[in-house]
Amino acid sequence: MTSILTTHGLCKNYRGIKAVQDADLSVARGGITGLIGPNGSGKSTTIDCVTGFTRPSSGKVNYDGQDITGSPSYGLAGIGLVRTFQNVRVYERLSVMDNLVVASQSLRAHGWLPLMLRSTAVKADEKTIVQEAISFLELVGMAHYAGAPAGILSYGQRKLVALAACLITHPKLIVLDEPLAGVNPTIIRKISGLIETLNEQGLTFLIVEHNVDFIMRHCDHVIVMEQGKKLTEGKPEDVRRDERVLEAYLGKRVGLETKGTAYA
Amino acid sequence: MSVSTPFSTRSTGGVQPRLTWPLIVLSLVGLILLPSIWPSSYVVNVLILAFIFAILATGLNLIFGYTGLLSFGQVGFFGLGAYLYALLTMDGGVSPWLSILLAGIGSGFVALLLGYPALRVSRASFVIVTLSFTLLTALLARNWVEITRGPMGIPKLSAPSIDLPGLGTFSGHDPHVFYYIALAIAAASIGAIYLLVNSPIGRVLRAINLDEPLAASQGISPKKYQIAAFAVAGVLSGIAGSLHVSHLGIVDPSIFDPYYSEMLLIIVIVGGPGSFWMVVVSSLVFMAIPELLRMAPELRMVLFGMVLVLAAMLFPTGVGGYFEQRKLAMWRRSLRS
Repeated sequence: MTSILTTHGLCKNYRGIKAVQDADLSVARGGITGLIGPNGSGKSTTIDCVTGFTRPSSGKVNYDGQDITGSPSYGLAGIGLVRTFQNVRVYERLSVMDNLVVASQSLRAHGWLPLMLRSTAVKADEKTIVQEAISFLELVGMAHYAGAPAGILSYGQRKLVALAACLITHPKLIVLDEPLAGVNPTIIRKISGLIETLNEQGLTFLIVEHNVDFIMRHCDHVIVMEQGKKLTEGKPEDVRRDERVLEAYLGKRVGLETKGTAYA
Repeated sequence: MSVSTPFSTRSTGGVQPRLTWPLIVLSLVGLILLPSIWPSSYVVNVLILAFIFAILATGLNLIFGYTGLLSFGQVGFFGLGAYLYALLTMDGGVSPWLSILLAGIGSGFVALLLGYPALRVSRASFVIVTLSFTLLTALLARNWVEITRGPMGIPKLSAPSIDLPGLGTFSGHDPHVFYYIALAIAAASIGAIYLLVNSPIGRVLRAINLDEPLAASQGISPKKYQIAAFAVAGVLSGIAGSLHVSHLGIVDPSIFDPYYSEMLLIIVIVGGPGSFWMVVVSSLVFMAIPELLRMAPELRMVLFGMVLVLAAMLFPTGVGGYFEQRKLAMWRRSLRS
């Protein structure tokens, strides 16, 4: 399987703190890759480096055959790489519909004068985008909120809208930063189902998540990070049994089986 | 829990009732007829000042209300436009009409040059850079005597006039003529900004204001839009400044007086940043209130202060913000039922 995204020797230092060290990651095209690790293990910094929100100190990021190391975040949506944020972000004072329309990129290709005067081409484009937005909102089950300001939605509903806003950019790879955190079980099922469906349609996902159940069930590859380094990677069931992974999350196993050294 | 929603692609946020267009036409007709109904040149002069402030306030609303950048530079561009107008007409021999246009373009160009470094660091640095810019322009106007004539200013400025074939020439020095010139320029420039903020560009500006990282993740380059909005706001300030001094007939360093900055901020903040028509109406109201309060000259400033305190207490997010909150509350209720 080819990779859509790879990093080579990715490092990020914050004034001496090595948030990410020498990470070589790869995300398989068409797959769902999970990125897990305890708090502070460098997952978020890694995806910030990959999505242009922070500049790596060293190392390379390669996406879809091009070197995107250090390219600004706003340059990536155009080539099909989008992300969501840990604490979900939506434009609270825009309507749900406008949240999607503004994310769509085709309108921005017009010049300012046709946009201001709403030329027929702009109007036609806008109509297509609205249709598209409705279909994506229907997909995530938020169509009846289209006219409502996004600020009135619950946390989980916002995550659904944020996902729909990702989809309208026509991405190839979506990076999801904790899509299930703080969301009720109904919406967890909804989001998991959506990720599965979209993946079947050919979308690639890189997902940072703490929900082990989700990772085990949906990811076909899991990367584990600890203290800024890649600890291990592999199939979810292998990673789950890996002694080092348990150690990273729960600490060293202590007790009688360590032959009496625990209390020494 | 079904809610019927009109699938609107129009900008949301402010109050955008369906009545907007008829109301605009009605107020324009009213303003055109007003001088013939109430020919007092005092009223006409107050309204001219209100039109000038409406242009200036719409510019600040664009950069502050929509784009979310607090600019203290608008009065700097106002003064810059004023001086450009004076120098172009007096020293350059350019016609007043063209000078107004060039003053706007010149101020916009300077805003473009200023916006680039000002936005490099943060929104806070933008505030400081724009404030320094206004102080710097005031300093230049006072001390660069060879060009600006220093504190004495440049008197005897010409005003634009209207040539109507067959009817003769109407000089802009007559307040009743200038009223229509100011009204036309205000309507054109405010109308252009109305189209801008209600276009997809306006939606992008709001988006950047609401969440810059999210906008960037969607392929929007925030800086590009912010600098462009700042330049357009600069054009508006420059036009307002040139219009103002062509009416006064003189430009001097008092064009940078804190009165203008203060009034401008009051108009936009009480009107509601990001609410288009509320800010325009607020310009008219805040030009009228101090005049109405002349009935009690001793208490004038005290009463004006009371109006401001009341406005701040009743409408902490501006009158426009108050309507927006009500709309939000309505949505919440309709979702609960």
